[in-house]
Amino acid sequence: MSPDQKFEDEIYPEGAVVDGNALKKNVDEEFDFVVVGSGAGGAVAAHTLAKAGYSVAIVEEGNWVKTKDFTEDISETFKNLMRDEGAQALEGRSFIPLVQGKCVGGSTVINSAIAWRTPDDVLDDWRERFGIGDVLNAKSLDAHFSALEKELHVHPVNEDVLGQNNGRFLDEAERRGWNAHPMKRYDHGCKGSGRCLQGCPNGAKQGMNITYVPWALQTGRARVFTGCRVLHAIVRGGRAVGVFAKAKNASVELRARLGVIIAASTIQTPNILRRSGVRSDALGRHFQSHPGVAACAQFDERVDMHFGATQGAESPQFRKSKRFKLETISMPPAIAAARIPGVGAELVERLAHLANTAVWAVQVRMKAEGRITQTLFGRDKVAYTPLEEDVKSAREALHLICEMFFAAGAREVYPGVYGVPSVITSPDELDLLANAPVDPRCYSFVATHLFGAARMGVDPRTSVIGTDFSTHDVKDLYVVDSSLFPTNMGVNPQHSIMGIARLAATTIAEAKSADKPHSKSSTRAKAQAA
Amino acid sequence: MNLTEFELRNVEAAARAVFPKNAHPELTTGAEDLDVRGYFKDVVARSNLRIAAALRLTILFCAFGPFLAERKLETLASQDDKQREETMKLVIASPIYAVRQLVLLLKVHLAMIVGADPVARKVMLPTPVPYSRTKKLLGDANAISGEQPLVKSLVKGARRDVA
Repeated sequence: MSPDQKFEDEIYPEGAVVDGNALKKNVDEEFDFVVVGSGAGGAVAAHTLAKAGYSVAIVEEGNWVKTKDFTEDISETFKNLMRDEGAQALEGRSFIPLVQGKCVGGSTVINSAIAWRTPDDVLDDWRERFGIGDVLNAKSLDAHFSALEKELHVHPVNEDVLGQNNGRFLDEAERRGWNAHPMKRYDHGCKGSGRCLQGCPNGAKQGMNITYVPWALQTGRARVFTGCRVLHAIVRGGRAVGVFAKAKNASVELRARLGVIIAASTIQTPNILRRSGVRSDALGRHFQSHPGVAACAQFDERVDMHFGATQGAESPQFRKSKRFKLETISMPPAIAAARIPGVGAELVERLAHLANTAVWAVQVRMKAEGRITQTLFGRDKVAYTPLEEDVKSAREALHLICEMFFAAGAREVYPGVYGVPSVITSPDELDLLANAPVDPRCYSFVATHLFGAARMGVDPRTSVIGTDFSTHDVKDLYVVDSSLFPTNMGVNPQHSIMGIARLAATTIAEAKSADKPHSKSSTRAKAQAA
Repeated sequence: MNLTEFELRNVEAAARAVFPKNAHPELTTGAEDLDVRGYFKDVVARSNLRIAAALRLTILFCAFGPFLAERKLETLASQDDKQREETMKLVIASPIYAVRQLVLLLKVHLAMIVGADPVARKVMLPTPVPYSRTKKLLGDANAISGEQPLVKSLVKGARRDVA
C-alpha cells in the first residue's frame, strides 16, 4: 500500500466518530436506533439500518485501533484489542481462558475470519426443539448469506497463502479419505502474514472495523461512540427508548426513537438485558461454547507456520458423528513458546526450531451448558464446566491429531494433556493419550465461540427473545448476536451471527417503515441544518 | 498496585530459569537481555485488581517454588541457575491445578517478552521457504500411498461424504 492510500477504517465523515475517552461533558443525543456493540452482529445491523435510511448510533465499549497501528507484538494485542487483556476465563471445575475482542469490530478484529453458513442440521434442530424455523431457516438466510459473501469477498484460502502448516494438514487428512479443505474466509488480498489474531496489518481480513462499521458511517446516517460502556437500556412504559453508557469522564445518554439493538456478545448481552429489567427465567442460562484444544509437533524439515493463513485448513469429517471439527492454527511465537513444553535449555532448543513446528487443533461442540451472571461489582461471570463426554471428545480428537502428526513425519509431538508425557516421540505412546484422564483440568482448553444465554424461542418461559428478535419482556429491545442462538453449532459462528443480524435488521427496518421519520433526522444533521 | 523488590527479584529469577541466555548457538537471547522487571511492573500497575492479584500470586508460587516442589526452605532467587531450572520444571508440572495454571500464565507473559525481541524473532521466524502444495503433490507422486490418484486432491471443491 502506498503511503497516500488509506485503509477503509480511516474513511468516514467528520464527526462520525465520538471518542468517549476524550469527552469532557455529558452527551445526550437522539437517533432512530441505538446499536450496542460493533462486532459481527452490531456492525451488520447498524449498516443494514443506516442503508435503509434510519439514523443509527453504534456504541462500542472498546477503542478504535486502526489498521495502520496493528503490530505483531501479541502483548499489544492483549492490551489494546482484547477484553481484560485476554485474562478472562470460564469458571468451573477448570478455568478455561476466554478470548473476546474489545475494540471497534469486536472479535472480528482478532479472529481468523472463517466463514461457515449455519448447517442445515442445526437449523432443523432449532426448528424442532425451539419452534423458530419460520424465522431462521436456510431459505430466509440464503439471500443474507449471499450478500455477505459477496461484500466480504468470501472464498477458500488461495494456494499462494496456504502455507505448510495448512498444507500438511490437508495432505494427511486427504490421505485418510476425510472431508478436508482449505477454509473459506473473509479475505480481500491476503498476503499470508499469519497475523489474523493480532489484527490484519494489510487490511485484507474483512473484519467489521474495516467494513460494515466504516461503511455504516459513510452513509452519513450513522455515528459510532467508542470507549463508552453501556450499562443498561432506558426503559419507559415497558419499551426501550435509549441506552445509558459511561465514558471515561462523561455519561452518554443516547435516545432511540424506534428501538435499541443489543449485540454486545454472548457474555455481555445477558447482563445488559438484566440491568435493563429483562426478567426471563432463561436469561443467562444455556450458555454454550466450542472450547478448543491444540497439539503441536516438531518436524525435521521447515513448516513455517508463521507464513500463510493463520487458520487455513479444516476437516468437518467428524462434526456430526463425534461433535468435533479439526482445524489448523498458527500461533505467534509468544503463544507457541508458552505452549511448547520444557523449561530452560530444552525449551530454547525447541524455540530455535519453531519454524519446524506445526499446530493443529480441534473445536469441540460441547454439550455442557453454563450460566452467565454478574458479580456484585458488575463484572460478567461465566460458570461453565465441560461434561465428561465433552472431554472424551476432546481427548479422542487430540489422539487423532497426534496420530496425524506422526503419519505426516513429525519427530516430536506435544499433546498438551496433563497426565500424559509432554513430549511423545513414537506412535506407540499414543495409547497413553487414549487413556488420558477425563478431567477438564488436564486439558489446555481455550473458548472463543460463545452461544446462548439469551436464546430465541416461542415460549417465554424457556427463551428470552421472540421470533421478532425482541425480548419477550421489553418492547423494542432487540438482540442480534450469538446470545440468541438456542444452541452451539459445531462450526465457526461469525457468518451465522452476521447473517442473522442482517435478517433481523431487515425485518426490524421493514416493521418500522410505517413509523420511519425523515431519512436524515440524526441530531448531527439537524445541527448542521441549524 | 506495585510489585515489591522481593517479587521483582523472583520473577526475574523465574524468567532466567525458563528462558536462559546462550542456551542455543542460534537463539542466544535470554531473559537477562530483556527488561523483565519493567514489563511486569507495567502489567501489574495497569491491570485491574483481579488480574494483578493473580499475577502476584503466580510470582509468589515461583518465589516459593523450592518449598512447593521440594520442601526446601529457600526462594527461587536464592538458587543457582541449575537448581532454578529444576524447580521451575517441577512447579510448571505441579499436581496442584491452581499452581500449574497460574505458572503457565507466567510462562505466557515471559514468552511475550522473549517473543517481542527482534533478535529472537529472527531466529524463530526465518524467511519462509517457497512452498506450493500443488507442485509438491505433482512432484512427489510416491509420497502418497496408492489409495487415491493424485489428481483428486488437486480438484477444487473435492469432498468426501461425512461419516
